[in-house]
Amino acid sequence: MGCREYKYTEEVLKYVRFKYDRIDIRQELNEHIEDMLEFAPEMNEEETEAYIRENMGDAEALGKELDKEHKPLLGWIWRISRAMAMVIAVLCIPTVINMALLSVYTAHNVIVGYDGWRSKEGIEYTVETNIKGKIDDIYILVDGVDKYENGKMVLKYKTIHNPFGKSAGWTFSFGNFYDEFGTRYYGGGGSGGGYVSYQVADINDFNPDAQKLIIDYNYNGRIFYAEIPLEWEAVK
Amino acid sequence: MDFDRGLIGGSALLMVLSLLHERDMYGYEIIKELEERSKNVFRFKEGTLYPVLHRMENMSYVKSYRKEAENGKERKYYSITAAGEKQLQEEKQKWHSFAVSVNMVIGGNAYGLQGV
Repeated sequence: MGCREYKYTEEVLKYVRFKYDRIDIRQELNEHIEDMLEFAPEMNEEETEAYIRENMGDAEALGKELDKEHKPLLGWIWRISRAMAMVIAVLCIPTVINMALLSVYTAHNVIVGYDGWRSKEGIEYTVETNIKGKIDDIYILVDGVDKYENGKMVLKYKTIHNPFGKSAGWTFSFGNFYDEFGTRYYGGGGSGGGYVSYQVADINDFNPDAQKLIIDYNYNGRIFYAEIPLEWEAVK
Repeated sequence: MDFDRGLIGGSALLMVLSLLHERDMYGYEIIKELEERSKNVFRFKEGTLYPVLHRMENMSYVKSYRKEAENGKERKYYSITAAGEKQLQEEKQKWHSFAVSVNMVIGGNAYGLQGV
């Protein structure tokens, strides 16, 4: 509920240069005057203003003292900082949502593992590896290869992204593989998003005489090279 | 005896922080409480309280919020902060030293100040 206006308050406010603070000061002073007048004798407007002045003190002196506490420079710094903080907060909303979604994907991926992307049905042999590497700010962990009854091979590897890094929002996958004879194989597959992505690459028609699966990624100076000896172990 | 003067400077900080140490108050309440406790010895130009309160807020000794007062009207309340509590202890120490020194000069004793 608003108070009535008093000439005294308006005179005080003339000396407060930072106009954005005048609203609060006006309200506070008028509320004080309202409380003060509640116990004052009946007066006409002129007498009321004189009474206010007598009890509140010189308007100019009060205005100048209040001005010292509401300096325009500090006021503007505060207002601009607050506006910038709000803009930054609004701009960050998509990032925060993205991070939340990626966290959910990550949790899902860790629970499901490779089983979300390749069937365990039909695996005859497997090779376990512990090969580690890094491309940009993505850590790559090659966990092994599965070989199916029909001869298909599936490479299993994880990519781990820094949540605050440049690559946090995208997925890195290997596409081309080689054997020791230099034959190239395309490996399509699947992967989960998130900060920890479990990925598989299906490699078909791999040369049965080849003893090594080679990952040879070299793009714009970003290199990952690994040779996986195909020393198969039977899966029970 | 009537000290009819402004609240700016002097012991205003100590008195206002002491009141807010007890409970949150709005400006008019603070003025009336100061008058009442001093048996009307301190009769301030009431407007002079506000630069003091706003300076204390700028220094983070108090923070303000709006709340409905006992009379049903909304008022701007001031609440002492941790920094304000610390400052209150310093102001008490300063006041104690000052009072003891004045008493030594005028030849009296520091009666009643032991508990400060």
